[in-house]
Amino acid sequence: MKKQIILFCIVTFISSCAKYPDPSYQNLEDYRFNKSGSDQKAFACNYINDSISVQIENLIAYYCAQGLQVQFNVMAGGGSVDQSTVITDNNGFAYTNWKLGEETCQQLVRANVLDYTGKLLSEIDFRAFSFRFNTWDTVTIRPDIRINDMVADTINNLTFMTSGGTLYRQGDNYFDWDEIKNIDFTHSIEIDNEGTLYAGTRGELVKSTDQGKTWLTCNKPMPDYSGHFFLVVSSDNYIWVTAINYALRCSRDGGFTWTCDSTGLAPMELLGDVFRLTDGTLLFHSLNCHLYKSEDDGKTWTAMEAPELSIKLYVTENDEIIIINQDYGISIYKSTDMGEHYTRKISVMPEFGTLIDHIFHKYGDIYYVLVPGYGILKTPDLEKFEIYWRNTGLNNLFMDHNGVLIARDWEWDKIYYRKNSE
Amino acid sequence: MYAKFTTPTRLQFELSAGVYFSFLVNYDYTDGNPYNYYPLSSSIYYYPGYNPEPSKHDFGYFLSTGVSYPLDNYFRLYLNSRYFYGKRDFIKTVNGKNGSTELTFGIGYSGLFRKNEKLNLENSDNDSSEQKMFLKFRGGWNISRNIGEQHNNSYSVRNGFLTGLSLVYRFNEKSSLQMDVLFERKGYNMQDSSYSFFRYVPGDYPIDEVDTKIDIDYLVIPILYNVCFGNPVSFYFNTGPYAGLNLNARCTGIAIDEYSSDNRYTLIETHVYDDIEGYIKDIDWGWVLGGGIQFPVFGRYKMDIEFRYNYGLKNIFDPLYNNQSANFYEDKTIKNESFNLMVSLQIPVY
Repeated sequence: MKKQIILFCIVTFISSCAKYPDPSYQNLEDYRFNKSGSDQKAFACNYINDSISVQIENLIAYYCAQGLQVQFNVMAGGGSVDQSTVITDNNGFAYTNWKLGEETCQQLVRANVLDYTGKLLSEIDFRAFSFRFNTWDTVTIRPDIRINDMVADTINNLTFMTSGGTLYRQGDNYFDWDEIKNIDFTHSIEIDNEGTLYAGTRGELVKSTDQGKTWLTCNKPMPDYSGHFFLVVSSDNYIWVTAINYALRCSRDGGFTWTCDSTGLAPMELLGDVFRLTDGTLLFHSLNCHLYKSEDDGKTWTAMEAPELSIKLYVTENDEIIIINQDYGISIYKSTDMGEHYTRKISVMPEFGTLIDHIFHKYGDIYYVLVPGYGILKTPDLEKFEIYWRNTGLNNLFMDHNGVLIARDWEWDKIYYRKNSE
Repeated sequence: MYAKFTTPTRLQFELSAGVYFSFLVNYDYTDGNPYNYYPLSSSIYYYPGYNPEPSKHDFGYFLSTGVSYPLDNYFRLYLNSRYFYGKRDFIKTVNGKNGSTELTFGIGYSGLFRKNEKLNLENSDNDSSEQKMFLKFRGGWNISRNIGEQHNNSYSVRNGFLTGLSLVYRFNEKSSLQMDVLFERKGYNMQDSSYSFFRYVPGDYPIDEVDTKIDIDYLVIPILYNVCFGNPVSFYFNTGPYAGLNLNARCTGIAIDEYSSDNRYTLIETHVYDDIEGYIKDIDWGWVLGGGIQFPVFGRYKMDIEFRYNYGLKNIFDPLYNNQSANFYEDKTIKNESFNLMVSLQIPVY
């Protein structure tokens, strides 16, 4: 009996020994997913250029995860993928080709990554933009949403734009933009009627006569200044520049020499618009809501009467003077007698007030006029206007060399493209 | 150093209480990272990597209860349960104290210093009917759970144990007053998605899947009034209040944290071993309702089998901070409820 008791004690003692795990944590599974091919653009019903892919890395075992299943599903836009279920290869890649649909501009494919047991590890979204005719297509990616200036070279059929300090050339499609790398930070871009590009950089003015391939530095309009400046190239190829605390400068020889031609201008006038009339008279509208004219090639200026608190000047090929001011919200006035008399043509009430920049564009016989905070007006003669697109979020409008309208949202998070079929 | 009370019976019961002193001999940290991965309180639960030097000595209290049985004149079989409660912070930066619960058994030899004598067994001619005071040594099984008012679906019952002794004063053949001193392990299990490992705290993704056991050790002192019927086999019922002193509270188990985004998937398993004493109030109290059967076994010894229900009346959760911005839906109430099944051996007190 005693031996059984002792044996029981020994067995119980040994079996009772246990060590509870120390407090700790352990990575049971750890995967990293690298996606590629998102945010591409293409015409509707066409494939995007590059396939979309997911690469899966197993971070515990330090290898690319082969043999995992990736399911590509079209979630929005109406497009299709060539292979919906793909097994990752030796390098952990799973890829497929994507044909865009035409239901919406922004399209979505979701890749579901499953582990070896079929458990869902992650959902990875791929986005693409599908472009259609005769409708506004919305893009929400850079560099498009940061477009702040654009010029159309109708001689060479090119379009250039600046976005986020970088200069871009339009690619093969109106929605593609190729970065021009051989130029410094660019805040503005202008073009003369010979196709010479002028770009404002950090205190410098540079020009290109070969469509942006090479750039020459012009003499500085303000030699002691290296900041931002306002730049306009008028139809006579004169270059006009102002800056904070710097009066109007003009170069009549393509940027080699500069003159300070501010006689007759109020102090601190900043450059808005400059137009040359057919009789040689120059009109200068400042950001301070003043209108001036010069009859001596811009050397001296005299103030002109114009509708009060004017914010924009535009002159047509027929010397019709268009003034936009802040009457009744926003009003468009027109003068056909060299500014002697103005007639109000239309008034609209925008949602907000802002500096007005690129708002007048003409393609063929039609003018497109943006009223920021209201929408785009369409007119054949700047007499009768119709609403082309009512959108209270717009604050800038551009047009490329093919007449494609590009409108930017005031929050800098959307850009709208519209190409009308011929 | 301790004082020990031993019954002069063949099957000896002993109860000891006292203080202990200990001296550091060696220390080592073999596992873990400098920081523990807990959402519970990162400021408390990190390994002492920055200030690893523990205190050179320690002191505290201990409580012991046990039985022993002679195998022959020189050998004795022992079974003891001991509870050590340290009073000194052994690692200052951790704010932790030593403590342990032990169940020991073995065989003792007393032949070195004792002649070969037969054991003296108790022999009393006292009539059991004249006995006023009795001692009961009891042990048993405990099922407990959390009956806080919110989210009871997150919690389930927990098995535990209890041991201790009772002192019974008999008024007459039908009634008596009883005071117990019991070591009881209460607690509960938790399985849910929660930010906390020991109570339900909801939140947004990501959140842990928790499967933990919460052990709360008490020194329970019920004072019960007994009413009994029958002889020699008697049935009895008892009821009365109890007070509990929190000795220890611990949360152990597993928490799974699953995180998924479009560029990463991780599955992390955390082995939880948390001291949650700071979140449990020192004192609990409630009401007891029980009943059982008592029958003679040998000599004047009697055995009880008792079923007891303990209902906690107090919220024992103690938030560390008076958090006014706490999540409205999180559990802020923990209440004890337990069911005991005990076996006791009653011996008359001399």
